[in-house]
Amino acid sequence: MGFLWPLYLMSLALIPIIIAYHVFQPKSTEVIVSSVLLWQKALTSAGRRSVWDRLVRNLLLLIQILLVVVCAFLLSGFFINRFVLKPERYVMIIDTSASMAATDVDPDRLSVAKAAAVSYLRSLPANSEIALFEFNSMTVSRLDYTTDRRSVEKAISELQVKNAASNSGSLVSLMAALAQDRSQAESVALFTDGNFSVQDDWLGLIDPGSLPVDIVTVGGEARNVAITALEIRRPPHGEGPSQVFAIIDNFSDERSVFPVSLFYGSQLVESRFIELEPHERKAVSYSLQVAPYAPVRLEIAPSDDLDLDNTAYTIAREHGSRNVLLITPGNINLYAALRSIPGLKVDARLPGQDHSAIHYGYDIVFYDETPFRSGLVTNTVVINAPHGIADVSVIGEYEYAEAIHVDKSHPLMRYVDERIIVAQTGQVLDPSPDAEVVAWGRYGPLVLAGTAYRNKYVYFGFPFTSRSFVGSPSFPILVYNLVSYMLGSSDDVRQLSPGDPIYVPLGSQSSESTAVAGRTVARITPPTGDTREVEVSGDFLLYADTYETGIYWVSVSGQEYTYAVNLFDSEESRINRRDGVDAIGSGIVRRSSRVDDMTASVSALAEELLVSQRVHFRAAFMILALLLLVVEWSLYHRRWHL
Amino acid sequence: MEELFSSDFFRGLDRLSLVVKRDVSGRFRGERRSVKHGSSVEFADYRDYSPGDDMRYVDWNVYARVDKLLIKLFRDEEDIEVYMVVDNSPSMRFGEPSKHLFARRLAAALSYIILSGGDRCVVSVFDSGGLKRLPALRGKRAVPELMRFFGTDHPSSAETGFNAACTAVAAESRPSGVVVVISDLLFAEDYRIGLKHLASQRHDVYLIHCLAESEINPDLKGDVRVVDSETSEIRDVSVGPRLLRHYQAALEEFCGEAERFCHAYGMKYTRLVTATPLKEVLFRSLVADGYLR
Repeated sequence: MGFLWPLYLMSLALIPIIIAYHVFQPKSTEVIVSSVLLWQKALTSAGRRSVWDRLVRNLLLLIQILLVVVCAFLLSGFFINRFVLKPERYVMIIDTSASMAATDVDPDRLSVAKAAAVSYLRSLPANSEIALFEFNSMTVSRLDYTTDRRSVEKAISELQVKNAASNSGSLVSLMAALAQDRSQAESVALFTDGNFSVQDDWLGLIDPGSLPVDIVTVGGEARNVAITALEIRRPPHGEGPSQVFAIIDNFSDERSVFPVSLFYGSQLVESRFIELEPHERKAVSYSLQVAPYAPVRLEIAPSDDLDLDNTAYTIAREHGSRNVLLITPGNINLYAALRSIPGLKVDARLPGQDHSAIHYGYDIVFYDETPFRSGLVTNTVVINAPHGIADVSVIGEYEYAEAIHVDKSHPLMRYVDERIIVAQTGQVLDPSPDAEVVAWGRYGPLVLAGTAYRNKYVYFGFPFTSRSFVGSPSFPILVYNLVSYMLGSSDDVRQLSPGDPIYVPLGSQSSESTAVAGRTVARITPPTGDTREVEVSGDFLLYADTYETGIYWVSVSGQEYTYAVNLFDSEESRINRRDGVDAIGSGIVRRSSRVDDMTASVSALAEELLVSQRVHFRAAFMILALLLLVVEWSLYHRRWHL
Repeated sequence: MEELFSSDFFRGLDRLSLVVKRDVSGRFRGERRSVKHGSSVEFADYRDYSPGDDMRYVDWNVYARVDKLLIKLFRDEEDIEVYMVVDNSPSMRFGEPSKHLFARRLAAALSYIILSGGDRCVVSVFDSGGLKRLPALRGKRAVPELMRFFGTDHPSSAETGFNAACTAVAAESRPSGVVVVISDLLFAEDYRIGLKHLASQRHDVYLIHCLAESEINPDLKGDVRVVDSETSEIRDVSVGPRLLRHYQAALEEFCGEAERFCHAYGMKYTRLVTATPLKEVLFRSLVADGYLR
């Protein structure tokens, strides 16, 4: 409390003068009465009033005193110091990945997280600015900084589960950016089920201690059985039945018995019961006569808490014939995996021969533990070469190599369980700066990919000998991905993860179509069945709203395309409490798991951030003075008295 | 001199007479029953004949039956003296009409009734300067003089001498008369002393307590300095609903006290408001209260 011009307070000296005037003033009305006898009796009966009593009862006097006080305060610039929180920015991130649809909490994890977020929002200081982010396969801003709580609550209520896996990399990137510029956020609140893992290297991007992160976890021990892979492979020469492969994981701590049903279109082909022990993985396969690009659906019906991963879709693709050379000392598993890929003609040779002359006849050459001497004249896969290759130097070896982190967004790792990347030995690699690191080991990169002389290469810094690696259901998928990556088959990718864009190159035909019609319109029918028309500009169609799992039908330029979108993410399907939250919590600042704790932490934070703010009352005083003046005038003229 | 009444009004008054509670002892033969035996037609008693008695009063019928001379005694009828005492103090100058005017008119009317009834009337006004009075009046011949007296506005002195006036009336009057006191009783002194003096002379004391409407419901608001018209005492009052309630309670208590006192000493008490028309006072209020019939 204080005054800008305290000298004006001297005007308060008018108060005693006013009081004295009221006490000693001759009464304005002198009336001669027959006798004061009765008045005296009345006064005695009413009780003689003290001077103070008279003052109090004289409303006019009180109003005049109040008027003087108000005017004095107005003139002297009265203000009070209010300690308020300086406007601060808070970032709220809500996990909307597929695992947030789990119903192990009532009604589901996302609803509980949203309720917790609203509760947290209401606990924030009134003048806070809040930004809202959604976190799934990407971390997307849903609401820019605003002080409008209603809009934040509305944005929170509108969040829906996306059938996409959590991409912790994008989350950590956001936090790193916020940590670098603390003006962007005083603290971050993350509402998640923690169903992701965070790479230590990423956490290194954030200065520990610089960004307070409050984490609210929802969900707990949950049951889930998921289809984590589904592939259909056409026969090598286009004849005979296709092979449908599926991987089903039990992520629960309980044994699970459930039916598995295969559908071709809408027709049930086969249904069987399978039994999975806790945390067991099983591969199932079917023989099925299918037409090219026909959709196939696999359904399981376990009793679990997440439905999204109980259905999977795939498309039977058509391949042209490609030639592959495998130079190996005898890796039967690799040979078999390559042979199983439709449309691939595989030749196998032993190491020690000069193969440079024949490289040109093959689309891909695999060097399995074979010294690589020639240049990259074609697409090349090198596995544990003794001396590396031109772009990848081998500078040492170590025992027991395992993948600590895998770039799951890389095409090579699509649908691959990274836990299978284990070997008795590993190479310490020194890649060129241009090389992409697909998987990391303890001593650096384990799997590298890159391009040299217009040819692609992939280097594996460990041998393909571990039984858990080559015997895993993920191994043929990895080999398949490898071949697809090498052959540049991305144009023909029909298996997508939620959020992956549908890419359709239109070529010259569409250009003609565009020229004639003036525009090209693509008709896209997602699994929900509501067909959308998308205007295509340029020579390709790119459609990114693929968060619904299922079959997407695309019709453009007279051509029909089908795409299968599946979750196929074992990390996301493993909905038991994970260590993602622990990693973030320990790596950054703190972790709190209950909303009450968060409220307390916000309050504690508030104490440190109180700032003094002068609050003036000029307008209020002016209005009050005017009001008092009107009342005083009215009283004076109407003689209102108590 | 003010015109107090019209001739029509006087004619109406002729029908009224003052009610006296007990037998009187007057000076002249009149129309009031006296405590003495006399020559009226109303039989009172017998006594034995004594030589020298007027033989006309011997009851011959009794003599015929019992052979004994008895003299019939008759109740004597005398007039009474009514003392009309009117307050002329400054406090009587208030009200609309003023209490003073009201009292003078009322006293004049009552005096007229008394004179019409054959009684004698001694009229007086008093203030602190003492009594101003006329010699005893008798008969309608005295009406003009009576009207002149009450038609004249006697100037008031500063203070009231109520007790002194009552003492003087008591001392100068003959006992067993009637004293009509018309006053507002708003005196600094204790009015009961004077009334007791009157009562001690075996007078029938009729107290007519007149108040102005402005005294019953004062038209005052806010901070007012009230000044006593007689003593010039000052009281600063903040008149509001609460004080007015206390004022009216004090007034009721004041009047009630006077009434209780009068009843205790065998006096008649009536309270009149000056705004009440005199005709209504005379023909209704005073008749109802047993002053007139």
